[in-house]
Amino acid sequence: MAAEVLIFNLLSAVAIVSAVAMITMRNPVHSAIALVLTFVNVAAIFIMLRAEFLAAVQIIVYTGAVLVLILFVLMLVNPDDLPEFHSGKPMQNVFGFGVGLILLAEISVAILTRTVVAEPGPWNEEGVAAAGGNIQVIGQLLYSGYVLPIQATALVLLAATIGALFLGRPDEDQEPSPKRRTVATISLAHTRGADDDLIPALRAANIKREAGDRDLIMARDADEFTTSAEEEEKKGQSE
Amino acid sequence: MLESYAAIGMMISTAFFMGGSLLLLGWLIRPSKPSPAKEQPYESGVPDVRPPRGRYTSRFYIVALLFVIFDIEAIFLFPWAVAFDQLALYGYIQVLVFISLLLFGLLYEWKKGALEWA
Repeated sequence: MAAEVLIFNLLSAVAIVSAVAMITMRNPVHSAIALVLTFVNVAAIFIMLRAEFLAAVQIIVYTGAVLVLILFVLMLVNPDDLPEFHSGKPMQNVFGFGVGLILLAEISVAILTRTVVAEPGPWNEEGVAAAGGNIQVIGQLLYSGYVLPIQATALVLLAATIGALFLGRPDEDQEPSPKRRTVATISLAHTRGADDDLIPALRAANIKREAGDRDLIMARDADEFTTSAEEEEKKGQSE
Repeated sequence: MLESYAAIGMMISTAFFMGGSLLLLGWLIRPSKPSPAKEQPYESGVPDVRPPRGRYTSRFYIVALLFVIFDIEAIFLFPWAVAFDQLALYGYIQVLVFISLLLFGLLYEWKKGALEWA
């Protein structure tokens, strides 16, 4: 029993430390890794509570699927583009602190008064073992007494499917234009200096058309053209 | 029952210890002298015009989200499959309703073309 308490303390300590690391890390990918560590430790705590199925679900859904989703979002958004990613407004800090305090008070009250601790059900360790295991019992309970929650879950998942499709649909208008991908830069600079006459001459020759759908940018220097693809696209529209 | 997890716990802690101690050892021993030249992506050649990390299409996001949703569906089917004998026809019909609700979502996204990469 003492070993169990020791292991529980170790697991919860690592879970709390990695949860704190997750919100304090500056690199979002490091945050995601710290979140994995938290999830794995919580799964181990679930195992200690004899909730093996929950532990497996925790690993499969949270560390597997949700983390994949978070990493995909990081890939898509590129957090460097978000200037206010880490610097929250002071209002947010105060508000977050207040919400955290309320949550802490709620949990403390629940633990101190023990109102959330229900009467132990018929499924103690012996009963579960006699029925053939954890998952067996969950299956029997879930599909005999919880018809409505199951079908409500199906509806929630259906709504999530349609919502994901709606939010993430590649907009026909905002399809990555071929222009963005096929920008080519021609530097007209050479060792003896830029040939200023060449640029209007080439512009007049209209080689744009010969290059197909490519957008040719003529610059005197390679460093002259260092704008991002989007900026340059805007420039092209304004011209 | 918990004793059967001791082997897994020992394996995980050993793996973490070995990996972590090697990383720590390397961090302690190796010299660290960063210089601007070492930060360059290429030793020679033209610097990148745009950031090397391009933007990904949002289709990846849709696929990942659909994976999460059908992952959860599979999680719900698993206890039903294990307790199939006890649940009999009643459980079978429930699962049919459950799957057909999600099948509607699958057909919807199929029709919307979310599964195509053209």
